Amino acid sequence: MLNLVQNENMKLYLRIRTWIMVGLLVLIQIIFAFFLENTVFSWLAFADVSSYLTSIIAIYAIVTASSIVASEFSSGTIKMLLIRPVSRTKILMSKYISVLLYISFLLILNLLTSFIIGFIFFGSASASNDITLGTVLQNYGFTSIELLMTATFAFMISSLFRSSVLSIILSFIIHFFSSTVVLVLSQFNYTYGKFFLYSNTDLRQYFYGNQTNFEGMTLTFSIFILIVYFVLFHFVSLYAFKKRDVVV
Amino acid sequence: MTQSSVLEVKNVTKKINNKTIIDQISFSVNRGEIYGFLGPNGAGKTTTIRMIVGLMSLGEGDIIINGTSISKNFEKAMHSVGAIVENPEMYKFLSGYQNLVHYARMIPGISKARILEVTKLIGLEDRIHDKVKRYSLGMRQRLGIAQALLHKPSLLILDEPTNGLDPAGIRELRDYLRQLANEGISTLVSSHLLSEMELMCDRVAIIKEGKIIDVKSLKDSSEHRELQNKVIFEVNQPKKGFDIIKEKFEYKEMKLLENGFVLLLKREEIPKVNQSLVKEEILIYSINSTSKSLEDQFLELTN
Ligand SMILES: Nc1ncnc2c1ncn2[C@@H]1O[C@H](COP(=O)(O)OP(=O)(O)OP(=O)(O)O)[C@@H](O)[C@H]1O
Ligand SMILES: [Mg+2]
Repeated sequence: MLNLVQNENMKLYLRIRTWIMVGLLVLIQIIFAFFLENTVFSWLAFADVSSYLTSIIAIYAIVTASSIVASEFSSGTIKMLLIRPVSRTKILMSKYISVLLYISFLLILNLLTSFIIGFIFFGSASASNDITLGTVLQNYGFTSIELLMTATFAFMISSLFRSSVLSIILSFIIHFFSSTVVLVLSQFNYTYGKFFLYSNTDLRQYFYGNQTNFEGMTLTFSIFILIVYFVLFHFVSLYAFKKRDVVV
Repeated sequence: MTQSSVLEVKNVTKKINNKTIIDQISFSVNRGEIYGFLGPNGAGKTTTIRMIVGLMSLGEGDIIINGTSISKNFEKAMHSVGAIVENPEMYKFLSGYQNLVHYARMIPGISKARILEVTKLIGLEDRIHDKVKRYSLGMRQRLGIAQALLHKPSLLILDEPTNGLDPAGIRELRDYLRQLANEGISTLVSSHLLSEMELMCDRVAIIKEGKIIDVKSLKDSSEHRELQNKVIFEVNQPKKGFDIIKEKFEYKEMKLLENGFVLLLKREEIPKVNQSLVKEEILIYSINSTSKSLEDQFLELTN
C-alpha cells in the first residue's frame, strides 16, 4: 500500500501542473502582502487573511481529485495499472490517500509561507487586535473539513467518468453552485435543505454565534450528515471502480 | 485440471449489451508453450485477453492461471502473469525508467538490477531516461514488453506485440519468446501477422466471431509434412514431363504451364517426381515450392 501511494505521489509531483499550483499560491500571498504593506498589520493578521486563500486550495483539490482516476482512463494507462497482482480497492485507496496528502501539503505550505511573508512584510510584533495563533489554526481546521468533503466528492466523480476533462468540469460546476443552492434553499427555509451536504460542510456556523443555515441544525447533526455523505461517496466510487469493465 | 497447463480458459462467454462477443471459448496453454491467437478484426482476441487479465468481468465460465481461478483469487493468479493489452500505454510525462519503477513497485521483490536487466534485454539502455512522450512507437512497444517481463511471470500475454516493431525487433522478440519457452515460460500471443504466427507459435487457435473454430499444432512435424505444397517444375519439355508424371503418379491437381507444369505435392514426394523426370532425360531448370501456408488455411477457414 505504501508503495502504491509512493507511485501516485510520483505521478502527481512529476507533473508540472502540480508545481504551477504551488507557485501560484505563494505568488498570490506575496501580491497580497504588497497590497497590504502600508496598512497597520501584524504577521498574525496577515496569516489570518491568508487563511482565506484556502478557497484556492479547494480549486486545486477539485482539479487533482477529479482527475486522478479519470486521467488514467483518458490516457489508457489504467489497464496497465489494473493487470497487476493488486486489488482495485487498494489502487483506488492509494489514489485517494495521495490526494489527501497533496491537500495537506498545500495547507501546511500556505500556513508556513503566510508566517514567513508576514514576518518579512509586517515584522514580528504581535497583533493589536484579537487575532491569535489559535484563531488562525482554527480557521484552517474548519477549512480542512470542507476540503475533505469537497475532495471526496470530486474523487467520486473522478471514478465515475472516463474523461478527466468532463470530471473536472462537473466537479467545478457542482462546487460553485453549492453555496448558491444552500442560500436559495435557506431563503425559502426549505425543511430538507439541512440534509444537503453543503449546508453542513462549514462548521463555523456553530462556533461564531451566527445563525445556522437551517432551523434545528446542531453540530452533532452536521457531523452525522458529513459522515453519511463521506461513506456514501466512498461506497459509490469503490463500487463503480471495482465493477467497471475496462475497455480503453 | 492437468498439471502441465498454465492457463485454462473454460467455457467463457461474454455479452456486451446483449450481444454475444465471446461464445463458449475453451482452450488451454501448456507450460513452455507459445500459443497463438489468430483471427480477423473484431474476432474477440482482445476481449478474451481482457477477461484473462481481469480488465473485464467474465460473463460465464472460469479462467484458471497456474491452478488459481481469477474469479476466486485474482491477486494470486496475476502474480504469474505479465501482459500487454492492445497498445501499451505508458505515462508519457515520466521517463521509461520511471515507468518501470512504477510497475516494479506494484509487485514485491523486483530489484533495481532486474529493472536494468530488462532494459538491456529490450535494447533501450540509451534512451531509458528519456521521457516516454519522446519515444517512437516501436520503443513504446519495447517498453511495454519490458514491463510485462519485470516480475518474471510464468505466463506472458501479448496482444499484438509485433505492432510497431521493426523486423529486427520482431526477430528478437521471437527468439526471446522461444528462449523463455525453453525455460518453461508460456506465452499467449495474438496477432494479425499470420506468417509471423507460423514462425513464432507451437499451436495456433483460429478465432472468428467469438468462437474458436480450429486449433492447429505447428510443432507437430507429421502434420506439418501433411501440408500440401504447390510445386512448380520448370523444364525443357513441359508436355512430355507433364504426361510422364501424370501417368506415373496419377495426380489429379496438375496443370501444364508454358515452360513447365505445376502440381500439389507433399514435401517428401518432390524428390521422387524429380527423379522420374531425370530418368526420362528431361532437363529441369528450377523447382519452386510454395507451401500452402497457415495464411491460406486461415483465409480458407475464415472466409
Ligand atoms: N466496449 C465494447 N462495447 C461493445 N462492443 C465491443 C466492445 N469492445 C469490443 N466490442 C466488440 O467485440 C468484438 C470483439 O472485439 P475485440 O477487440 O476483442 O476484437 P479483436 O479480435 O481484438 O480485433 P482486432 O484484431 O481488431 O484487434 C468486436 O465486434 C467489437 O465490436
Ligand atoms: Mg485486438
